[in-house]
Amino acid sequence: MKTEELQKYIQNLSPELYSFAYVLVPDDLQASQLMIDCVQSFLIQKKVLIEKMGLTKNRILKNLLDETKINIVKIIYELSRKRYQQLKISLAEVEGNGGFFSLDFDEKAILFLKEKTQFEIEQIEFITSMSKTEVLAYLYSARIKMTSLMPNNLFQNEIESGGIA
Amino acid sequence: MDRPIQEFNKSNFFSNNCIHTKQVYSLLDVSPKDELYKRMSKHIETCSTCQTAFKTFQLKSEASRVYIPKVLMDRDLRQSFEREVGELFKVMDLNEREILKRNVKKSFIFIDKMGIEFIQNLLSKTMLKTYFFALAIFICLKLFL
Ligand SMILES: [Zn+2]
Repeated sequence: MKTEELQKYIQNLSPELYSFAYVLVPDDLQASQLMIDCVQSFLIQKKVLIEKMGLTKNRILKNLLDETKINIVKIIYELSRKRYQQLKISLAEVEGNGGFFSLDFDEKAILFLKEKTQFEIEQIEFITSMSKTEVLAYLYSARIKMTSLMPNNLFQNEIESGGIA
Repeated sequence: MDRPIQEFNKSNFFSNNCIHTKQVYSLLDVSPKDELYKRMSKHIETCSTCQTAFKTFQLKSEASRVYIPKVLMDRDLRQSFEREVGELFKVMDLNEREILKRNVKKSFIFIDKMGIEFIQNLLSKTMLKTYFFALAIFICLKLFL
């Protein structure tokens, strides 16, 4: 595995990383700065590992890349959590508009990971350093808040006729 | 945000007829291998209250997915991110050529050290004694043979 491949892989992750970062810190410049800080932090944390990998063959390439992705997402979560506290006031306007952005930080993070990425509950536990019960509780309250955006009688007909798989 | 939730909970979304109703959400998010999933899916087969609650919850969750924003990254931001990642790899000496260069340098330093030590050893006291001893033997041999 060449480190150039890892570089390219990280570069190609940008749309996914950006949408997660933006969901957590809804400001385009802050979100993209956050991504760069995360990659830097990842490279520092894993430098030795990356160097070793750089000089070995690509037997475990897929594993390494998957691990890279989940670790960067984890760092994005952790860093944006800190930054969110600092930026809270300036983000108030976006959150005040209601809808998804008015959910709590962890509700947003977990609902987004569950619905918009391929991560399983176990991986979300790793990213957020939470227990399964906590992850499910945030997911539940996020879903309740999100469904409250829907009109109550919208699906009454379908439910009564049993038309849902 | 609180008011709509309260209204929502007050509405008959979750009926209080069955104590398990609040757990129906687990069917949406937990893996089918999970114990919780197995328990709830078994229960739901026999409980119409939970069945209806689950269907409503599932439908509403599905429909509310449209409210989760799909964020697109600006082309300029993307290019600048890619450039900066490239810079990071360069600055941190993470490119393969850099790592190889560094390793070769390290081996040279190692060989250099070996060379210096070798010369130092040649000039050490022990070695001088050895030279002197060898010279003595050589002269003796020359004289007596
Ligand atoms: Zn029930």
